[in-house]
Amino acid sequence: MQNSSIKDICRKRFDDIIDEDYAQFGASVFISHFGYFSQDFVNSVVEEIETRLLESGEKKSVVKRIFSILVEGLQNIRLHGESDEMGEQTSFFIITQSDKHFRIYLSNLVYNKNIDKIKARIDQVNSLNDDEVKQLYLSVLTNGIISSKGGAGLGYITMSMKSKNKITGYFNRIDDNLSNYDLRVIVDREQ
Amino acid sequence: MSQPNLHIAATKNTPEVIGSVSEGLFKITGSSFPENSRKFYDPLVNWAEESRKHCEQLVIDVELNYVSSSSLITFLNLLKKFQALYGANNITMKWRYEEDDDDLLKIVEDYKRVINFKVELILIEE
Repeated sequence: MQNSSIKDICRKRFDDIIDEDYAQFGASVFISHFGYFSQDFVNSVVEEIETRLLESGEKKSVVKRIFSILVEGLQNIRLHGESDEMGEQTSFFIITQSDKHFRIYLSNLVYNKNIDKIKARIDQVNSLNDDEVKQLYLSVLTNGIISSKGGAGLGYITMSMKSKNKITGYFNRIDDNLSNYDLRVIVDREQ
Repeated sequence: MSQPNLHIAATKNTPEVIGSVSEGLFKITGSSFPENSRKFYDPLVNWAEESRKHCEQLVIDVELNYVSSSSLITFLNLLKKFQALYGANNITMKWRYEEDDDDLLKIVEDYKRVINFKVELILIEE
């Protein structure tokens, strides 16, 4: 552990998730990326994914939902992801595809001291039924408050509404300071 | 200073915007998911204020594709600004959508909770 860099640990986590996903669901990787995400990269990769999904015959409504989850998730990573000891915002995302689902994994570094706060936000969204989520969404939307970074606090709410499934967060402790966090969002495929 | 006429070209993550005081038109077309939505929409609020000096009535023509959550809020804030400046009776919004795009219909339904001006839903022919 002492000899591994934070990036190496995250890379192992990335590989492990792909292995676990395959072992559990028999899913194949549709697309994945490990490293730093620039804004240009985010803009290009969501467009590429949209094109590839449409070309492979996915329903447009499903493609739009995945697009939305990726934009919210990848922008969250850029806004909130912490940096490793080299000052790099080490992050990754993976989309796997099985017969019935797309599974989206969105990962970044978090400070251990912030984990409870993140868990609370995920739990809040998951504890609500569809109507309650919609009410929460509407109240944030109509209040109109946007942070100086341009964020709205609607990321998890939007991802949950687009997913139509529970979202889950996993935390893997790296050292006393940092953990690797991955948010998992499932989108059901439609025939 | 805001110009009375406005043209912003589309980028990968921001829509094309046309503001014409001679036509009384504000037109927005494309996808909107800039990382910092305020940076994109705040100048449009300035244009809204400037435009009111030149016209009494406004048509807002909207043909959006994908809109991120923070853009949804900042765009609604812009619409609220237009409403406050012009009065609800002096604005008509054309809201264009594709046949299978329920998301855009939901968005405008949500918006109608806060905006009171006339909204025309226009189906985009393929």
